Amino acid sequence: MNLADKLALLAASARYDASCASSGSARVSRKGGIGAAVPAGVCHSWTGDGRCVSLLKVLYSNACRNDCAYCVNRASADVPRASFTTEELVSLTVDFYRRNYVEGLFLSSGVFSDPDIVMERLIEVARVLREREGFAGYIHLKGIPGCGDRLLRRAGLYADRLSVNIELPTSQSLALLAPQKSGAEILGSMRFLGEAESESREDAARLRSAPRFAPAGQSTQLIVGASPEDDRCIVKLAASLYRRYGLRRVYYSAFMPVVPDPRLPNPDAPPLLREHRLYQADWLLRFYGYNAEELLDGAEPSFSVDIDPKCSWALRHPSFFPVEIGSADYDRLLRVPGIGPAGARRILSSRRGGRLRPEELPKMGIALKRAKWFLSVDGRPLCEPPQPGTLRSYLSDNPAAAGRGTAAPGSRAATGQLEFELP
Amino acid sequence: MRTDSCSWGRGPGALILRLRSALQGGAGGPSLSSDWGDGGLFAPNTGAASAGPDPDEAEIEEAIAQVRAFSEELYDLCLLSWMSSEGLEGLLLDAAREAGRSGPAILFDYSKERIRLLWRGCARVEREIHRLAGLARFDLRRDGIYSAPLEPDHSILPALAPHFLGRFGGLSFALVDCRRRLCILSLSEGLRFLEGDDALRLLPDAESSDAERLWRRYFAATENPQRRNPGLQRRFMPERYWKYLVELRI
Repeated sequence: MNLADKLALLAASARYDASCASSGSARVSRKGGIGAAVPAGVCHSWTGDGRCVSLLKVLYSNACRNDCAYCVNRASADVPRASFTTEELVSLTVDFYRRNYVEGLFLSSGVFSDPDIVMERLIEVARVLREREGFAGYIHLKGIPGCGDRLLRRAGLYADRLSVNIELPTSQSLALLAPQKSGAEILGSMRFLGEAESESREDAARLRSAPRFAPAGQSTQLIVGASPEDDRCIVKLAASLYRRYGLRRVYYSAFMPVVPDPRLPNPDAPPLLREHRLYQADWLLRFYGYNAEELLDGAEPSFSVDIDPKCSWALRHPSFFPVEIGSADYDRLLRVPGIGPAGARRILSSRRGGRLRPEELPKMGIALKRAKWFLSVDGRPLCEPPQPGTLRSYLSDNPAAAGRGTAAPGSRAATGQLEFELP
Repeated sequence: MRTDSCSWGRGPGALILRLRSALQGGAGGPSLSSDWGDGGLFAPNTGAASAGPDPDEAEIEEAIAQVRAFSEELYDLCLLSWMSSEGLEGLLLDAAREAGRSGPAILFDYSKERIRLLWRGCARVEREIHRLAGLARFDLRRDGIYSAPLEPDHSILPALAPHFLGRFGGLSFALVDCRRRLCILSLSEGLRFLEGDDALRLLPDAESSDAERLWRRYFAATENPQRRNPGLQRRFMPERYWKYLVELRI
């Protein structure tokens, strides 16, 4: 297979991995070397599906001995197989980087051999880039499930970010759909990465020149809609991954049927709205101070199609509102639909300049359309609530779907003992 | 944003001096737009007479230090205003005059319309800098220089150059603003500013390369057909930038 065909095949195999971030790391170019990483990351293009292209995202090899039901490269799939060589990947990365096509490399692989051997190959590509080419761009390496901690530690010396995919929300679904993968092994690797990263941060605080372990931390991905778990199960899992292992990002990937399998649903289209709602909830966990139990409960186990999770929380907590524009603190302001971190900060800094008038709010990046129902000025509500029960329709970002229930149809509550136990 | 890590000739010097004077309660002089419009970017290099006497470099350094000691944000706003093609100098100098009277906190008072317009205008410049840091496409010329043709809305080459200088190691590269006919050329001996035909001579000159062909194959393969959403793609990457994108130009 020629290089161009191989590149197309191994890029198409990697496109189901949602992560393409190049953020969270700062490296400076060395003399004779090439590349730098900036903390905010850089997007270099956007594909026809509207997703950012930041890294050369490919598999090292699409040969795989695992037979995961949802995967285009499952062992039993009838697809052409190919592998890169280290030199091919190194020169593609450097060539693309010099032309400013990418920020760096995202390298994953099918499990074509013993996990340790596969992981060694990925590390070798990163090592040659860093040591021989002096490459200081961004490198994201996938941790091959089942590889040893010793290899993850080495990978972290070259990579900016490492990720081990949890793939599915419960150990039961993993056992059903990815029988060769072990939830305990995956979570064990994530725990190891979390500990190695926090150790490294402590070392760096003591000694600036201490080698940094994966400075952009770890992320993971799970597939939404291939298995029956409800959103509550997924959000609870994400929240504990953030809390326990210090993950920087959890990516949610709407399930797309690529190989027919009786164990899998066969939707007409990937559940993109559900994926979107989970990302909205993820933002609320990371930047708005919500916890998983607040977002969904037994009465409402999955997100709605017609309103976002923040509006949904606000509707369920009428006694929290209205929030006083002139005196509420940052955390309270953040709970108002239509006010984000930037808007809340601007409200606080504008108070110093005197009394804040409501008509100024839209100019401060606040969506008054939603916020007006939840704010008060001098103790008086900014806007009288509409007829009981109609507020929901004013808050909808998807009014056509009103009354159509949840964005996760057919999902079921996962009972306690089936959920992952985090070591 | 950092543009102070390299020398820009006298670049924004005149504006910085006026900013300092406004901070100290001075009038800030007449509007700058006639002296610092498009093409006036490198006025000191071309001997443009309209800019008046060359400001003294030591004095500019001192003014920069004073402005930054007063407020780092004001200094950033100054550099962004200088690069903007929307004529933000008036708003900038007004903001400085007010801040000089009542303290730097006024710069963050979004309830003031002119403050908001200044931040908005500067945010558009900053967004374009960030966007083109990703969308610039370099092509290897026969003389070994990597060259990126650009048509930015704002005159942002001075902010892009340090970004690429920080990541291209020893590579020689050129950033060419095709519309304003300006070029920043980075060679091992330092930066050079070129104008007019001299700038356009640094445009890419080679036939389509293997790397371009591979990149186009790669890009086509990364799209998930089941998730097609061209509207979203255009929102992130407006079509006016497509002209120089290897993966999208026909």
